Amino acid sequence: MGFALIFTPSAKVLIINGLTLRELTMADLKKAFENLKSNIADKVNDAVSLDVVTFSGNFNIKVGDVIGNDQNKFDLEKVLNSMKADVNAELNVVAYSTIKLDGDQVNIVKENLSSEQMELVKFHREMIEASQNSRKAIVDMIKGLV
Amino acid sequence: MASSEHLDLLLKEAEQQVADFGDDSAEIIQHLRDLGYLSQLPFNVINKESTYQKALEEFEYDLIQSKLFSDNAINSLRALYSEDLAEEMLRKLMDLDEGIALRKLPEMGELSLSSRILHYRLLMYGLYNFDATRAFGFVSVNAIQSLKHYLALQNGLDAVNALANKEGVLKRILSIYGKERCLMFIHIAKSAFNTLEFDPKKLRSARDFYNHLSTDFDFKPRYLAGFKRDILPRKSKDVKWEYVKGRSTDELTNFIIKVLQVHQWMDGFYDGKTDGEIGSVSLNSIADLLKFYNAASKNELNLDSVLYYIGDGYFVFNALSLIKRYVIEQVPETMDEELIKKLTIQSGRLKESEKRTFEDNLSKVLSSAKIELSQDQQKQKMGVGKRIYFGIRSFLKKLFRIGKRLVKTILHHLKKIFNQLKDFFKRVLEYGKRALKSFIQGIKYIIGRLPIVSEFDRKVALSHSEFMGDTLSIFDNELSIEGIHQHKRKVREVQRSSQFSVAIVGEVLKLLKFMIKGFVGWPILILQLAKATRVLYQKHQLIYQQ
Repeated sequence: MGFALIFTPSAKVLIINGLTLRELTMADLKKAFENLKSNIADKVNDAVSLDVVTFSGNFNIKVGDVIGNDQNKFDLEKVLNSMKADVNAELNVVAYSTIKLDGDQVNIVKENLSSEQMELVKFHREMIEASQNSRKAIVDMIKGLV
Repeated sequence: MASSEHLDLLLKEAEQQVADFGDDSAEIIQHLRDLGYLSQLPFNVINKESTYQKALEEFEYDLIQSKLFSDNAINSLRALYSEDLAEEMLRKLMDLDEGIALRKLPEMGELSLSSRILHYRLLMYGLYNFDATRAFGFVSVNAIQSLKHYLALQNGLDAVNALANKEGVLKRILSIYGKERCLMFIHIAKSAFNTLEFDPKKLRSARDFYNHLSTDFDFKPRYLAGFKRDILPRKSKDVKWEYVKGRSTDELTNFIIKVLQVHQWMDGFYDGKTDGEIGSVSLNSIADLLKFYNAASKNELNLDSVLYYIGDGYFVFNALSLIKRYVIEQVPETMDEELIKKLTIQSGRLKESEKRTFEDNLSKVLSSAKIELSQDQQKQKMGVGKRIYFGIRSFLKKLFRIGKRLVKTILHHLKKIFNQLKDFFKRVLEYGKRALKSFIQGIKYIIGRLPIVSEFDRKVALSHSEFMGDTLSIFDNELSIEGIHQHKRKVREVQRSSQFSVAIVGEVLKLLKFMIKGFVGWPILILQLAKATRVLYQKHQLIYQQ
């Protein structure tokens, strides 16, 4: 089988190769792209703040449950729900930061930090910087699209 | 259908397609063999996988020991490629188009990754006749001396590093020795004439050859008149045979031919040895190259315009004509954008019947390219058998040149240039796969499906970033500081990698804008993916400079 996305005489884009996937017509593709663009734009508009939160606690997560065989199935909500279901689970906020678009920043940090939790706060700070870089990369990507 | 479902479908399909590309280890096997990490002998089928993995691990160990790249650069690249790191670094190190600079020459007796790469380069340019696993020694030093002499460089390290840019080598030769050195006199035994794909006796058009000569070379009229009199006279007895024979055995000519053979080989037209001797294989490859480019160009260049048969097995070859057109050609910076627009327009103008022919032809050439890719690993000997790699710069240049008429070429000239087109698509498929992998990674990141999970002494840490950067991390209370650091490193790596991927996604989404405007097909998608690979590549340059 050759590489996919071939065109049919009826000028539809067909996503192929003997897979059970249904045909994507050009109209579907157009809609998908427009939806994607509008979703991205909405999220950019809504994203007036950036939130970074770091928890620590007692809980049980099996790595296999989170990653599984298919990363596409990953669902953070399910992970959090499974923690809730665990009667012994206890989560504490170590640090929480929200950064507004205008640059205002609110940071909440737990008191009486242990040495491990001090490391978590350092980690938290790095995540803020990394999150800001990620946001910038996405905004730059969107700029190239419009 | 909701947009997220469309996205899921696209993602699933893209992953399936990466899997459908099949085994792409042929190129890597070839590199491992060239550096001596794998035997030149065919694989024992039973141990194939473990032998391959062991060779890759050995290479990766040497790579880290070599300090050819900073620790930061290695870490960044590991983040980007994870398990494909060794393969990517091999590609980079073996590149003779935009290869890396060695930091110093090896010591006498040294056997290291640097000495292997140095020997590989010398061997490819026909200056060294042993395999890469031989320790650096007097033979290596002598080869470097010759190279310094040919390139007029004082420093051996500069000379060896110059070889990593094949275009630069030719430019340097032109600047040192002048254009006249690109007029080459060649001798082929008459007994080998039956292996030529053309009839030498038809290469006797002195007028055509002379016309091209006077256009390509800004020689003084006096020189041209002398050339016509001494090399292109009507009667064979009037040829200045002494001069012709002397030039055909000269050492510098021999080296320039080796450089041209490297170019021909990397462009997929030559599969002989880099021995500096133009034989029937070399001449046939020149004929193939002209055929390929003529199919994609309005201004055809005929063989008899660049090659003239003087007689008695002697030819004169105007290499400058080829070098100017195909080797050192300048292409615009925005070539990818222009190319994709042109392809879109060409595709849109096809009639229904032509579209079907186009699809059939394309399907045939692709099937052959895929089959051949999987068979390539059977071919192994150094300098014999087609190498399957050339640098990204060469690839994009070639893409630009033939891409301008790609649709028409496939539609009308398929039989004529089937083999060349197949080779070209093999490269497209390889680049496409690498770019597609990055695209998938980027999409997953954008839609928040790349959780980062670490486990250390059975204690877990999890970080997850949403679309616009919102981030949640959860750590087990009992996770040690070492465990936290381990997770931190993993997160950093994924974040760096994601930023590369986002750039790739941006490139592919731009393509979608084109697609929804009209009739376009996968050739354009895959070209766009190849372009996306270039974006990735450019970002790599920054890593190497760290």
